[in-house]
Amino acid sequence: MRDGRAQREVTLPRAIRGFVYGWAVSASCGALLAFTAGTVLSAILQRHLLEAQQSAQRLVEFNVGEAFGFAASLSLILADPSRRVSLTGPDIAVLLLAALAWFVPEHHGVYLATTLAGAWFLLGGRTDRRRADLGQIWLALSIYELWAKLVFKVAYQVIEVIEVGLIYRIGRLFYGRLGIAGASLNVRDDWSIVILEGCSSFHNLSLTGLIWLSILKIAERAVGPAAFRALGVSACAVVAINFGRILAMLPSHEAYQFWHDGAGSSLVALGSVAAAILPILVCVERDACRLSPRT
Amino acid sequence: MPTQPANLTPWARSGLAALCILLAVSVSVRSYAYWQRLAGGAPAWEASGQPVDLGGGATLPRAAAAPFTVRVAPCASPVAVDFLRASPYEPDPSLLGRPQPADRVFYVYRGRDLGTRFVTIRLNAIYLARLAYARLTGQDVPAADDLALKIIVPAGCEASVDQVMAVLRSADPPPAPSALYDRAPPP
Repeated sequence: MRDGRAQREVTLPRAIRGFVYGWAVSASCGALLAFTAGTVLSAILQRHLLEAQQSAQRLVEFNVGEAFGFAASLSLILADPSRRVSLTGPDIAVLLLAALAWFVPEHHGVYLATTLAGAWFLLGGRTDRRRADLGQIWLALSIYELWAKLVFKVAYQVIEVIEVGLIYRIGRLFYGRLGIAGASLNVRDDWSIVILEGCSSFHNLSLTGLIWLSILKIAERAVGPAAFRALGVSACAVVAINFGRILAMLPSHEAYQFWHDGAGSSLVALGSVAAAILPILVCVERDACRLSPRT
Repeated sequence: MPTQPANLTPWARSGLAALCILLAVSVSVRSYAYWQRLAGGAPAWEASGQPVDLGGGATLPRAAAAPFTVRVAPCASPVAVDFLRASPYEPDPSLLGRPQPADRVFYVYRGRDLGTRFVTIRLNAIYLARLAYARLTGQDVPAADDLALKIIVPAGCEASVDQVMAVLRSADPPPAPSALYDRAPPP
């Protein structure tokens, strides 16, 4: 019987074998797509249907982070048919287990799904670079959406003392009467601002890291010294923009409203995203030009 | 040609089907919760007003949760008790109560001594754990305004934190708020 089955498999027409293998890979791609899209969709639905109202700045930032993570995942799942990720039984089981996190009634908690699946794919991707790449993107997405926010909240007092201290040192160059008390800054006796989660550079940095990694994966570039330099430039620019925004809020309540809730807030969010994208984009494009010089 | 064997096809197909079903169910659950919320109004996010848990089944009424001093048997000077909220955005707990350099300071949450190192991080972690629990169990009021105790045992007093807590648990009626801030400021 065993020999007979082996004989039948060997003698299957090539067209049928191609269809069977192709369907298996399509089903694998479909499962990966469903998992990625399901995670992002669950987080978006939870945020917009069941969470408190989002401000304009958070809307811009969050959508950009998810959009880049999703685009990079799609690129890794669908691009180059000869190197697509194929799933084994344990992979499917892990994806299904991770997908239970879609039911977590908190939009950050939904990203427990990408944490589990990302860790599994990264650890099991030593022989398959595409699996490892997918694992890295999912982990970067979950770090940005969940773990960085959790770490920030747990270590808020520690992180903010450092950040506000840095802003104070820079701010003294512009404001002679700049005062500091814990996580708050003031230039007037009757007006001060407190740096909370949304105003900290901490999340902008994790967003920068996610965008940087996504662009590298979409462009199929390896991480090298030039890419790290681009990341450094982006990080410095993003922090500088955020520090500038906080210092601009200090003089008055009107200035605070403009830079915190008004058009200035959207301007800063878009500027931060541009600062995160441009350096790595220039680096990738420059490498592409070097790889294929025109005569 | 991909190297996936054909006998994995049912696995992949079943996995895809199961993921689609899970996604459909999660979207349905959220849509249902959204319509329920529209019909019933958003849950109020307000202070729970729960009493302060002193551990060992003893509680202190929320109204009594203001700084006070209490006499503990072996000590000549009273022990100061302050209350701090377990939340990331509360003032630095080390600034509360203004202990003298030689005083011993204890942080107690629900009768459990939190130690003195990384107290803010521990309090933040407690806050987040309670918030996550409230979310997962579908509680409308997250009870995230839980209070911890800061106990300042004056220099020269050898009372342990357990002794102080025993006095607090047995105090009936609860100690009245007193002039904690009359203590001399640190030099």
